[in-house]
Amino acid sequence: MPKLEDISVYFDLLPVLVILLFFRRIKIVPIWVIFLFCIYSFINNQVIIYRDDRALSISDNLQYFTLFEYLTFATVIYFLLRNKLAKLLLIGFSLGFVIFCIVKISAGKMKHFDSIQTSYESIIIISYCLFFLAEQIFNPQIEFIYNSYKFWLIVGMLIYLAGAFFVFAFATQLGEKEERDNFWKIMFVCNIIKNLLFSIAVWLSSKPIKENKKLAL
Amino acid sequence: MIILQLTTSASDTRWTILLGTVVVLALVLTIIVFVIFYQQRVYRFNKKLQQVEEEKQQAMLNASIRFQEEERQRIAADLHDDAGPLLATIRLYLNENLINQDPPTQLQSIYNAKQLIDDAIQLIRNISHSLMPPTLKNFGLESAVNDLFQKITGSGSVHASARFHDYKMRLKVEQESLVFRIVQELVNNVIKHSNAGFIHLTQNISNGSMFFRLHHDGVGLVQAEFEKLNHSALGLGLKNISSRTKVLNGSIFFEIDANKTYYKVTLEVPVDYSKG
Repeated sequence: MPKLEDISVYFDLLPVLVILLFFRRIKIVPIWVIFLFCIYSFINNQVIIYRDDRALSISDNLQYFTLFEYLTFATVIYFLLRNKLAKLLLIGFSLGFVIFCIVKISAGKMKHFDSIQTSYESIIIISYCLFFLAEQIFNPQIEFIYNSYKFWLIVGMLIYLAGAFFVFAFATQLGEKEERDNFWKIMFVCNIIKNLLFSIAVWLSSKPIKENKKLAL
Repeated sequence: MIILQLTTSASDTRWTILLGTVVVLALVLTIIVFVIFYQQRVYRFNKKLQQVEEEKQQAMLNASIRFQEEERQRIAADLHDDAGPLLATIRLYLNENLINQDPPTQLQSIYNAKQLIDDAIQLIRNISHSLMPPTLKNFGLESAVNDLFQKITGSGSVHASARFHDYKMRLKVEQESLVFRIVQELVNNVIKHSNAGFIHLTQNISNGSMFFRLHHDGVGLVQAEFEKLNHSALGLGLKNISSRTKVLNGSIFFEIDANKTYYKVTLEVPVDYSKG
């Protein structure tokens, strides 16, 4: 029976496959950002599994992955948001995050898993996902929000980061590798859900959507 | 988060992770479900608003078409009932001249025909003036309004006066014409329905907008009543006021003063001066 870990890793390829299936019809930047992210995520997870890297003290891959993941999600959200001030603030937060990571790299501390870094990422992205949903409530453009690829991208990010938030935040406090592996399963499940939702988003983005422009009040 | 980490013992950590994950996921799922349902309601509400707005615009358009049709019918009736018989009578007099060779009778007939031609000229002039007052075209809104108010005061039933505080430059011809029609319609309504003793119009400019304020001491309308009549099948004149205000990109507000002694209508129009 395949391990949850392997299923989770191979699920990274699901959005990639759906994108390749509909690639002629997909002209949306955030979907291609997700495409690159999923490929990177798959390769990165293979490396982690190969090195058995979840011994967190040497998990430099996880650290770079967090940075790349944050930048991917922030880019996607930037394209999905309509509020210009929120977009500007997102750029500010992202610069702060990148500077924080550069400082860590230059101090040689990037080799340790950092709960603050992942918590920062989670809080910012979750906040922006909630802001996006609020934007959709106050300024709805389509009757059924779940017909929009944007909604599924946001829900994917939201469930993944909210579900794995406590695992990331307390990762350094978990003792034995066996115990860590048990809790890491929560992250794997969230990752599978995220990729499923991203795949729905990709499929929807390949279909033309009727937006009611007049309702953009 | 760091504080939480520091204050949690190793055994509690597991529970914190499990409980925290369950609570956060439940919260997120609740928010997502709420957004799906609430967004749909907001969308439907907005769509209904849009529909109401479209219906209102349609009603205004219909009113405008009806008004044009009525105006045409009035002109047709004026021409048919007044100009037609006048010209027919002139023709009779001239025919009589051809038959009757008696010079005094001919002279009388020509004199009568001349009188009737003068009447016809006056009639056509009146029709033309009712379509576009020459004072408005040649001398501008201030003169046209003063002219209109003088005629009203002259009739003796209502005292009408106007004061333009800031009208050194004329608005564009189309704007002047629309404002004049709105003022004319408002004044007509006051005379017809309000039983007012006086009408007073003031004009001034503030923050890039021109304000026309019409006061009267009769029984008038407040904004809610205006909106209600505007949406009903009645109130053709009010619909015309609304559609003209919309064309002007302006706004109109009906109110009564705090002491309930007089009614006030405020018309706000963005200033767009004529180049001439």
